[in-house]
Amino acid sequence: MMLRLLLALSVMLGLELSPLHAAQAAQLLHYPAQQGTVDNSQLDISGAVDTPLIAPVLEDFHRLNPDIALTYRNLTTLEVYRTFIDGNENPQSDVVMSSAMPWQYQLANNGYARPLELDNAERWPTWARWRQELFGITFEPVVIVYRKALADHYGKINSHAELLSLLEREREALRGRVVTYDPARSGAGYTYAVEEARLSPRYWELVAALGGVEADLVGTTQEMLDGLAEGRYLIGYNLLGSYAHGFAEEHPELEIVIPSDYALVMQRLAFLPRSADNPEAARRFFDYLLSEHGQRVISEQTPLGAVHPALEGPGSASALRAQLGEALRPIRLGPGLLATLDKLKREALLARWNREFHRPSTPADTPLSEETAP
Amino acid sequence: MQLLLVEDDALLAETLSDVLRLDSHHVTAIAEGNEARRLLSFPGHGQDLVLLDLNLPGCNGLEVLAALRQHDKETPVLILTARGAIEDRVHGLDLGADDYLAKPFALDELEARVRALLRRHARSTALQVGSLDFDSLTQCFTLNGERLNLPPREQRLLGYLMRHAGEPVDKARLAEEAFAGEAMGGNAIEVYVHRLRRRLSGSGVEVRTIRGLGYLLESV
Amino acid sequence: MSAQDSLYRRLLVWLLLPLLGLGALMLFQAYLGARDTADRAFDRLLEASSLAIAEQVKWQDESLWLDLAPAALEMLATDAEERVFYALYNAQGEFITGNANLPGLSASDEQSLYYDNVTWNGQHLRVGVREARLEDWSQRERFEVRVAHTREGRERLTQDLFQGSLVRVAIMALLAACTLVLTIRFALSPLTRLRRAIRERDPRTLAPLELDLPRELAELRETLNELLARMRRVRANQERFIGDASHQLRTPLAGLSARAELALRQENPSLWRDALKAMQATSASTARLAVQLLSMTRLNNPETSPELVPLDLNQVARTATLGALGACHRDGIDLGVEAPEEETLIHGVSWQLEECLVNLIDNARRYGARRITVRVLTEPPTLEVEDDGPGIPAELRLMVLRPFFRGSDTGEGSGLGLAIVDSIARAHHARLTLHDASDGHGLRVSMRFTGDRS
Repeated sequence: MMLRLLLALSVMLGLELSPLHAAQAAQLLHYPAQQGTVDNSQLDISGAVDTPLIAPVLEDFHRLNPDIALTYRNLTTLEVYRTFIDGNENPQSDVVMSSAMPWQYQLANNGYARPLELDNAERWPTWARWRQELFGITFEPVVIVYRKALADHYGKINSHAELLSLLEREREALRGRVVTYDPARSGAGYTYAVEEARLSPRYWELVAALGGVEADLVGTTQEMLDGLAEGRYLIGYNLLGSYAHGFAEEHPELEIVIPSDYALVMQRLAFLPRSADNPEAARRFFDYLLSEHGQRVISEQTPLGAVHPALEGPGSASALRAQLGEALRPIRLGPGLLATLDKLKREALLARWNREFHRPSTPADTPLSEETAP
Repeated sequence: MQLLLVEDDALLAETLSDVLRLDSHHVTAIAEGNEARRLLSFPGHGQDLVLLDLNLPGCNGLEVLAALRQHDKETPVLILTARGAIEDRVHGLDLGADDYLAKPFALDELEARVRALLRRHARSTALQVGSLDFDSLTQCFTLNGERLNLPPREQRLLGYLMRHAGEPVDKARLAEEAFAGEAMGGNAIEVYVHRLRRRLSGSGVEVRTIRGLGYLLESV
Repeated sequence: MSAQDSLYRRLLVWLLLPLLGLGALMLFQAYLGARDTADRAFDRLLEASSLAIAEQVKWQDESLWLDLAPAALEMLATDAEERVFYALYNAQGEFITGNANLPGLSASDEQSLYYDNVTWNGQHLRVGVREARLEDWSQRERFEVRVAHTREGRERLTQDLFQGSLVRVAIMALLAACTLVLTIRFALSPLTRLRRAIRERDPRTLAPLELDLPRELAELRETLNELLARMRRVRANQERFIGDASHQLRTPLAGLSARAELALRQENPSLWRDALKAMQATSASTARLAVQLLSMTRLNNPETSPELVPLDLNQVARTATLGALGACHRDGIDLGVEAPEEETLIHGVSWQLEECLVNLIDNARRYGARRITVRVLTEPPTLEVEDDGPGIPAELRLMVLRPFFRGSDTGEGSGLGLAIVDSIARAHHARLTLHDASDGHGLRVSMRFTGDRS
């Protein structure tokens, strides 16, 4: 009963939990066990991390553990959640990684995760783990991206406050040229909205300002990046930094800003399911993932951002903290995430969001019909 | 008679030997326990009576006694000891001694005991009390060398008293052992004793009455 | 003495065991208390959380409406990172939101908020249920908020509190045990002093113990001192006895020696003969004295007293009489026995009683009796020796029982005969009395065995 309800809830919350298109994500990576190794074992990982991002990590792990036949299935966050809840995936996942933090947290809270008994897990920073069951393995700030041309006209945007004043000041000029997540359609967007609403009461002013410039509401980071690259948008708000960094390297006209007043940080959460077929191999993978070496691979070869406190170079949490200090606001790994999943809470928040978004021009015509549809 | 005297005190041994020789016995005196034991360990030791001191050098008198009694139940043993207490007698008698004399003792006493023991264990059929002789084989009494003819019951009574001379015998025992099977009453026995006394009067042999213990035949 | 029997150990065990039991009880109570405290502390979280949720419940669109504040759930999780669950039910018991099927509790009386431990989906939870109603002008719908979390935090707090108690109780137990050990040591120290005082004494001394002791031990000391006093008296008696004995032996030996010396100076054989006669008599009586001294010593040694066994007094009388028969007969004394037909049984040592009778007969013989009767009476069992001798004046009858006492000394007796009889009578718990003979001339010695009829 509960599972069915959770499933219904997740369906309702949005098909588009992944920041990227589902079509791009449906991929399989396979690393066969090396011939002649003594005890071959399987390791099946399901994750909502795009293959190009995770591949360096998997390759490195496979190089160090050639006896393990490694299979990585890239799924959307919803698929991750659903296949896990259904329990009929074959084979059973040994590691589940996803950026949908509330769902991952709920699974662990309901006892689906198996506690790890690893020294690395013991030493993992408390803010990035829950019990010994759920681990935040990446550190990905949520960023503002704008075209460099914008800065020439209106100056740089370094913070939410500057963005807000710019939006209010240049309402006419920016009309239709700003893009952000639609919280009703995107799970990530909804999660950010909940968090931001908690962080700052002025968030609603920002929503109202976004409504004032009639910001475009889209479902994925990729859509926003594409629009920015094409020049349709001048400013993108709340993009996932890890994706934006890669994209910006190919598009120098784009500027990525981590807001200096506060910046949400998203973490990909991983756990070892109780139903895992190969818990021992999974444990080795976690040992690797939480080790300084594994984290170094994440920080140096992927844009995901490493959590390990010993790492201080670019692409590490420590470096970001040194740069931004208290402004970094990692989404708290705690029962507050459960509130995000409450259906009445969601209805309440989206109602408020719509009301604020439509305040200046049109009185709140609630987009409830849009939300209740699965 | 051949007597063996085992006594370590030289004075006492010499005195006793002399006394017993005066009574016309042959006396061998030994002062050492082991020697006595060796001598008595042979079945053919040839002794008729052993006078045994308990406190001996070399080997305890009781051990000597035990060694003798292993093969010889007959030869009478008279224990002489300075230990005094009568409790030793119990042990000695248990081991097969026949009589017991505590030092100091009167020589008379010793002679009487020796006589009694020898008589009791006499292998010959001839018994003698004072001037009275009795051959138990022929059942003949001789008093002062003269043949004494007695009726059967008196003869039986005197024969019994002769065999137990020096030892009081009560009426119950007489009725049971001397007159076995005759249902003799106490009064009848008194009558026969009375008659015997009359016959023996003036002969130096008499039947005494010991109060509470019975009749005793002795030479006066 | 085995270690089990140590007074110190016994005290320690019997004081420490209840103490340990008490400690265990305290710990158990402390554990219950700690759990209770932890529950009360953590139940405040359930209370606050359920209140925070209840305050957010509104009436909207003809149904209950909840804008769940994340903080309401955050507050349920402490450092222990508990799993957290919640649910909202309406008055009809229909599920509104949260974790469906989170178990409720049967309502308790008068309380709008109640808690209990439940097991749900294999997890041990503490559930708090708050019954509330909307405080709206028009709508006063009732609803129920259920919040729950796992027990890790409570258990950790319980553990912490309990460990505190554990340390306290352990320290107390340690102190108590130390105090106990010291107290027992202290309390038993007089015993050690007493032991040391006894051990350090000269083994030959019989002086009383002079030692300050607590009352209980003072009694022991007094008892010991009484024992020592008795031993002093016994030793004094023994010393006197030995002195008497040595005197008694020395005198006749001196006489013997003098007589022999005198005889050697003389040439007349008839004088020699007189001397030898005198010497024979003296040496015989001296030897007899030596025997009796030995008997006396043995009889007075309590450690060699033989076991009393059933025996027939008639048999004893006959045996003793037979033994004395020869000597009496030589002296022309009429010795006899008067005994009943049936057995007269008592508990005793036959050779001692025989010695008794032999002594009494001997005495009578030596003091000039012509007729001696050994008598056995049955009610109560009694041994008697009656003679027609001179008798003993009534005022001397107690004195003659003492060793070496002689009335009108004729030189024949040793002075020990009656003392030996007295000792044997005591050993048999018999009553020894001296009377005039039945015809008024002579002595009757009677030994009554009271209370020991078998």
